[in-house]
Amino acid sequence: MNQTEVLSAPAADTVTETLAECRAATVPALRTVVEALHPRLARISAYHLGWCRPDGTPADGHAGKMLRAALAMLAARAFGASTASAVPGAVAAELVHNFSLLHDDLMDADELRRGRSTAWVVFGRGPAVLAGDALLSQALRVVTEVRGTAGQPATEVMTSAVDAIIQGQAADLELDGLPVDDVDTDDYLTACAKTSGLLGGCLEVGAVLAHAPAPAARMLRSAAWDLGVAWQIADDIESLWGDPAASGKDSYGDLRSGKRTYPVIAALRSETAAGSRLAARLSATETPAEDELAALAGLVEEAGGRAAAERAARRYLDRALHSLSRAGGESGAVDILTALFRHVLARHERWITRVPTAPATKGAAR
Amino acid sequence: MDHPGPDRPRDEGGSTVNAAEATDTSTQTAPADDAGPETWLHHARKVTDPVLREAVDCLHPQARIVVGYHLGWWDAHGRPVTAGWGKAVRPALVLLSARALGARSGTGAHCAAAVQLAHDSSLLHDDIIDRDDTRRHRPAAWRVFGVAGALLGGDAMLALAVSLVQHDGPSRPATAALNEAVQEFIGGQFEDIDFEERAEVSLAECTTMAARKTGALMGAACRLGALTGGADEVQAAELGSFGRSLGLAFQHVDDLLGIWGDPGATGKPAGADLHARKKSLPVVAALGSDGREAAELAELYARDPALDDADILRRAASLVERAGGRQRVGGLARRHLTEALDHLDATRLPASDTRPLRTLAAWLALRDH
Repeated sequence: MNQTEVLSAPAADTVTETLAECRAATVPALRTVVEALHPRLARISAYHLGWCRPDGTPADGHAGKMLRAALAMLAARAFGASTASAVPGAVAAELVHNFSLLHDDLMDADELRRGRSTAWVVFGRGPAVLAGDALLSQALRVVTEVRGTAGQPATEVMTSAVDAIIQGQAADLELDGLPVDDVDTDDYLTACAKTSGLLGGCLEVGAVLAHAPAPAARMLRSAAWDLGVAWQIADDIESLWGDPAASGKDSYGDLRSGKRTYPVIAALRSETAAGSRLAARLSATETPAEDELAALAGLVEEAGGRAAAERAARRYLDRALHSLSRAGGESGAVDILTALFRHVLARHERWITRVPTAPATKGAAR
Repeated sequence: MDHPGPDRPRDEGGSTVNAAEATDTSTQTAPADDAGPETWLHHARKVTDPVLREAVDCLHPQARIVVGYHLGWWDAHGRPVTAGWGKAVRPALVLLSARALGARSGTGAHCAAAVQLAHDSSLLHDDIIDRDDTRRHRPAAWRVFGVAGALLGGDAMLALAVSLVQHDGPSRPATAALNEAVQEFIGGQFEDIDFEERAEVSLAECTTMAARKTGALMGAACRLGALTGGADEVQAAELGSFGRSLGLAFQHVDDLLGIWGDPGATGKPAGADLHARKKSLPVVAALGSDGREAAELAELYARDPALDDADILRRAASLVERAGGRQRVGGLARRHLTEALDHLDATRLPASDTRPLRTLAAWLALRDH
């Protein structure tokens, strides 16, 4: 397990145990919701979740670790509530997450997810669209059914999180089409809402279900939001310079498809000679040839895009951890959340630790 | 499905209402109790449009342009057009249900907008799924913005619908009513896809599908209107059942119009459903009739290539009619209308307050476009 690089062994064990525990508390309720769907939509959803094969026979080993459920539950714990009280938030968060994955795979025409064929490839586009719609609507239904005074704010939190990820997805669709001489890191950060919107919602909904004070819930939301930004930037760095075998990603896939990733945008805005050469090449109509991709990645690095991205990822991670420590939750639970935040970025940590945090880097690259 | 009707050219301002014209929907003077159905629909459009525009304006530009295009407010480049978003049947059901409870004019406008958005979200996604090129006389959104843009536009509308429904009065029962209906119509849409791939579908299965696909949301529209108007649970349930039965009647008529509707009025080419070899209610009723016509129709439906030729389409329509499909479905539409009106009676609301709902119901179930 590579998280041992950045976490002490006990912390890594705690994170693994906590994830397993939260997952176990979420799965039965999530199954109930999925099984209440139209039977064929239930099958598609269960396949997508890694619970069964295309023919409905049980599968094992592919189910995700349900990070979002754990975030919601740990936030509730940080404010003195039980894991059980956060179940509706955890279930809703996982449903929203999987709604967006089902639709994203279609939008991006991705044929593989976690080493398996994506749902639209197996079941067809129409059924995959509808399964996504069904999970979205179930997610919001789950939180509306929460009894007591937390039901209303929990519903509002999840509704806002859904709004945020849709806004982010829209910005992301727009991002890759923005002209190279105009695209800015602010455009990138707007698109980050597609991931950060839900991560923020997870912590916030957990806090709200635990009746945490509103400022604390908002602080937790911004912590997870920043974590999501750091994660996305580090992911961009990894997909350009990481080992494809370790990341499971196609090397230079982002460059080939003309994605406006953080390092590329920072390079384009660097006002360097390398940045101008990159801009000239990316505004040309023909797609880069295979043997040209490494040279393009070199230009991004030469223009300072990689260093700027590493600094930005660091800045967002630091800010996330800072917000987490200021939210005022119970310290044991906050420690586990902190470990979980680091765990999320464990594979990516090497992309953000090369430049130490120093006041000099503040405000750079933005 | 919602077809734009010939009443639309008279829709002065309904779909072109200025967003600045206040979302204070109470400023819209309501028609009198004895107004005609098209007046009520026009009024519903006028009350709902500004709420819809205000909500859609909050979307990211990339989603907003798709949604506004689909709703007929602007073209692919954002230039205003007056195409409009359909007849406003569902918003009218929300508003008139609230009115039946004695609520003041404009009550339920956010729920009306929510129901319309949920409906339009399903249409947008349906067009992607069925690869339909045309919607309300214009190229479907996915043809203009691509599958990704249209998918996102539909998602954005569904999310907006859930936000809006939390705005008028008792928000949790309202959110629950909307989500239940959405869940049901998604199941219905799924069955619809499934039926197209299956060799045999029974009329009962087809009716269940129509109840899910159309009845659920019309039922929710009436339930939401009732809730915002302060209904008790019995009244809300009866109004919900009224809407559901009316939705079934509406879908039966819609399927009749899909074969025999006037293309100028429905916005679809003549015999559109036959051309698409849809297993609509009249076709399924005809196929289940066991006669010579049923066999020939089955043979036509199985034939490759598609039913392109106008003569073959006319032949198919005539077979459906001679096999009794048209008469059977017309009879069922009238029966569902009667059921709907019985539920309305069961609310024990004053006849004068429910009169607009009755007028609208009768018109929807007997319409020719």
